[in-house]
Formats: sequence, structure tokens, C-alpha cells
Amino acid sequence: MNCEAVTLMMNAALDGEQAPEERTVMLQHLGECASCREQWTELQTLHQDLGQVLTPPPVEPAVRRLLERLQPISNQPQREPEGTGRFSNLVIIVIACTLLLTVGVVFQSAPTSKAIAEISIMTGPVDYKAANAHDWTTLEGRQHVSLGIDSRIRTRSTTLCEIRTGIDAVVRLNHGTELVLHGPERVELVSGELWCRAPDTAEVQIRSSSPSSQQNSTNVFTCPSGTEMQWKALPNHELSCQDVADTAVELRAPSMNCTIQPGQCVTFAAGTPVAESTHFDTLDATNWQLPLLVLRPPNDFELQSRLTSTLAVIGRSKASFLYEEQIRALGPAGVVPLLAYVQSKESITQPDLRRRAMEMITQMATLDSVKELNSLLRDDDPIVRKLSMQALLRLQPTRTFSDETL
Amino acid sequence: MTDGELVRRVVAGDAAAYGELARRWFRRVLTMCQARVCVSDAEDLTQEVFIRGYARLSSLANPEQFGSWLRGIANNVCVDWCRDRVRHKQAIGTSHLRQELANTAVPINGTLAEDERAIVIGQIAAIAEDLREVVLLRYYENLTYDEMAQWLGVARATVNERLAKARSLLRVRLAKLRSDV
Repeated sequence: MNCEAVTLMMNAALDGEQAPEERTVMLQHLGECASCREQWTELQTLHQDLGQVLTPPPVEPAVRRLLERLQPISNQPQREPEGTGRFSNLVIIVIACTLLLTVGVVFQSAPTSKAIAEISIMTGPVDYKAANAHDWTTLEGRQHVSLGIDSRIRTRSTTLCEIRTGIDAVVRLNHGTELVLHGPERVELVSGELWCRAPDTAEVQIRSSSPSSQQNSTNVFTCPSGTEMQWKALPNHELSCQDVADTAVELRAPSMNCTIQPGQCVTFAAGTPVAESTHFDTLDATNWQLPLLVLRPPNDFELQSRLTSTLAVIGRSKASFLYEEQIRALGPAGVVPLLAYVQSKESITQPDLRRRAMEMITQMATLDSVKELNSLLRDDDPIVRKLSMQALLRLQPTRTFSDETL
Repeated sequence: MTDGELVRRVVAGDAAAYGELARRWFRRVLTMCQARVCVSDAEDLTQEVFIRGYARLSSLANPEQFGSWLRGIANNVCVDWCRDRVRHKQAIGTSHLRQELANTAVPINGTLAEDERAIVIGQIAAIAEDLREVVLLRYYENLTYDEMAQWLGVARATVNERLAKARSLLRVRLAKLRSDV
């Protein structure tokens, strides 16, 4: 019996996995081999040390946390129809991440202190600077990144990003926007434009940057819970605010309150209104968010709502080509939610919008959409069938179709 | 109750049954995450594994194979994490595991001195990932060789070989460190 084989036996003996016949062989060898005897003694000591160092982590608290995180979704049916897996998974992950932040558990973090928010979506590289850091760090990819208190986020001229804070507020940064997160409910807009949705259970404070000598005169506003506002930093530390939801919002500032109507834009300087604009098109004003939303699951409610709203105005006004361009600018990424819309039950009751979506799909689809287009060849609407065929012929020029399809 | 029966109960709407599945498999997944990603948020990744698993449970073709199916999800989660770290040029090194294990390791009777514990942990962090995983499985979960083999998808003899190699490396390296001191 060689020493190497005995080493395996000694190992098994430590773990109580040794067969009786092996034990006899091992003991016999140990009686004859001083080197293996020494090794056996050392292994027993090591086994004891490892047992002390590597004590089992408790399971029950972790399982409890898991069940708490699953609770909001546990009532949903355990059903995953083909094509919606990504949707349900991402929704669950987003809900879980939000809950996790709410209870104050720290995520995988960018180099920072305690996390108060996370970047949930970004369309490209985003710059990040922790509170005490001197240099900016580039964040990329689509994995959730946690942000600490007083951290700065800056989007580039071609990128957008979405932040979810610990109170479940959602902040979206337009191109070339910089902000400072002073807390999960306190955002300082340094430059650019942001959209903010305050959660139903908490208010969000938005402020503009101002020179340190004018801290008292800075624009500081409290957005009531459940509101959607869009903010833009203007020269001279002025701040414009648009109500982009369907209801009026009463903004609170240290020295006054200001009611803003849906579609109204008010400019503030030193906390007081200095200008009001006429009503603007809220859809157009906020459609810059589309490239962010298409990174969500194709059936995402907000994405689908925005797409159908945009489709609805195409062809209805002289400027409607702009809306069409907004969707076309999404490129192949826009095809997936459009197809999801066309295949949804809801779209059956909107045949005009459905056909409009199909027309865009016909021009924008790539080979990735062939499966969905094939299924649409059997659609009840002959226009949809025809447009599907056109798309497939563009993608697969040599393909032939049966008379029945035609 | 078997894994398959629990899976079927979860799919039928009994969310509590998933808690039982989590209790059975949590440490194994945690061990895998600790062995592969080596960070203080290994538990967060483990939680994500189970959340993904819950979302996809109805797509599990063979409910009795829940463990190996879950390992596949855990593998993906770890790969995503590593890819993201590489993308962000953040280090993936043994220092993370050292910290991680130092945080979780508590001596049973306090018989091992703190500095001695730190040395042992440092050496566990320094061995190869596949060796580290069997060591953690053995001492965290006290699994049999057959259970480890099934979880890892390897032969029982491979488990023994890996554990033997890991212990051999640890024994030699720790002896050298102690003699240097």
C-alpha cells in the first residue's frame, strides 16, 4: 500500500467515510510508516481547527429574510408562459431589491458608505463619485449598483440612467445630468434634467445647487407622495419644474407653497416662482425616457403605456413624425416591446394602434423577431398578417409563403 | 417530504414550501457563492439565487432535480457577478474571502487564538476554488461524500480527492507559516 492511497483513506477517516476494510489497511500502514503517522496526527489537528474556524452560518434568519422578500410576489401565480420569463424575473428582482433597500440591508456596493439607493438601469457608462472620493468612477453594465449618501451620479451626453432610492422613489437622469444623493428622499440637481416619481408613502425633496455663500437662498422643494415631476437646472441656479402627471401638485418650499397644474412648467429662483410657461406636451417632454424603459421587460406596464400613448398620437398631427422618430430611434430594442404589444390581449381592442405598431415592426424588425413574426402570420387581422409577411420577406428574401397565408 | 413534492406545492401556490426548500439548500448555495465570488455580499447573491429560482420554478422539468437545477442558477448568478466585477475593474481576490470568512467564523469554544484563526482563514482563501468549496461544504454543511458529489456533479472519489488535496495543502502551508513564526 503506497502512502498516497493511505492519504485518501486518512481523509475519508476524518469524515467518517471510511470503509471498515480500509481502516484495517490504514492502521496497518500507519504502524509501519512514520511519515504517514505524523501526517495523520497533523490532519487530525487540522480537522479540529477547521471545525472551529468554519462554523455553520445560521440558516433560519436568512430564510426568514428570503421569505419576507418573496412575500409581495408569493400571491402571484407560479406560471411562466413562454416569452414572459424575463419579465417576471426582472420584476421580482426589482421588487426584491427595492424591499431590501427599504429594510436597510446593504447591497453589492460601489466603493461607498451605507447604500441609500441603487442604479437600476443605465443605457451606457455612467460616472459615479462617492462622498469623499476625489475621482469619478465609471459604472457600466446592467447589474444593480448601490449608491452611498452624498454620492454623485453623472450621465454622459449619450447616456441615461434610472436610480431607485431606499424609500422607493424613482429618479431618471436625462443626458448630461449630474445630481447628488443626500439621502433616499433628498436629491440635489447640479446640472441637466431629471424626472422623479415620489412613492405613495413618502415625499421627496428636490433642490438645486447653489454657491456655498447662498445656501439659505437655494431652491428647495418638497414633492408630495405619489407625484411625478420633471426638473431642469437652469443658469444662475434657477430650477424649472414640470408636472408631468395627470393631477395638480402642490410643491412646498421653505417660504411658500406653489400649485402646479398638469402640463405646466414653473421656473423658480431662490425658492420663489419667477416664470410660468404655457402648457406643454407631457408625453413629448418625457419621452427621452424611452431608451431607458425599453431595457425593461417588454411587457412592463410603464413601457407599454408609454409606447401605446406614443403610437396613439402618430399620424394625428403635423408634428407626429417626431413621435414616430422617437420609437424608430430605439432601433431593434424597440421592436421587442412593440411585438409584445401587438401580441397582447389589450391590443386586440385597439386595431388602429396595433396596425401602426405592426407597420413600424415591419421596418425595424431584425432576425431575432422571426419567431414572433411567424406566429403573427396566423393573426386574425389580415393587415397584421400581411405586414408580418412583408417583414419576414425583408428578413428572409428567399422565403416563400403558402397561398393560405397570402 | 421530497424536494419534488415541495416544488409541486410551491407551484400550486404554497409559498411556505419554498421556505423549506431554502432551508435545505441555503448553505450549499451560500458555500458556492462564498467559494466563487468571495465577497461580503455572498448572502445577497444567495438570496438572489433563490429569488430567481422562485420565479422560474414552474419551468423546472424534473422537480426532484431541484438541487442541481438551483446550482445552475447559482452558477449564473456568480458568473454575472464576476463579469460585472471585471467590467468595473474591481478586484476579485482572496482578501475578500478572508474578510468574508472572518466575519462568519466564530470559534465554538474560543480555543483557537484570533491570530491563529486569521492564518487558517487566509490559507483557506488561498486554495483553489473547487478545493475551497468542498472544504466549506464539509464544515458548513457536514455533508456526506455522496451528498457533496451529487451537489457538485462529480464522482464520490473526486470529492475525497479534493478534500484530501485541500487538507494536504492546508496542512503543509499552515505548518510552514507556524514554523516561520
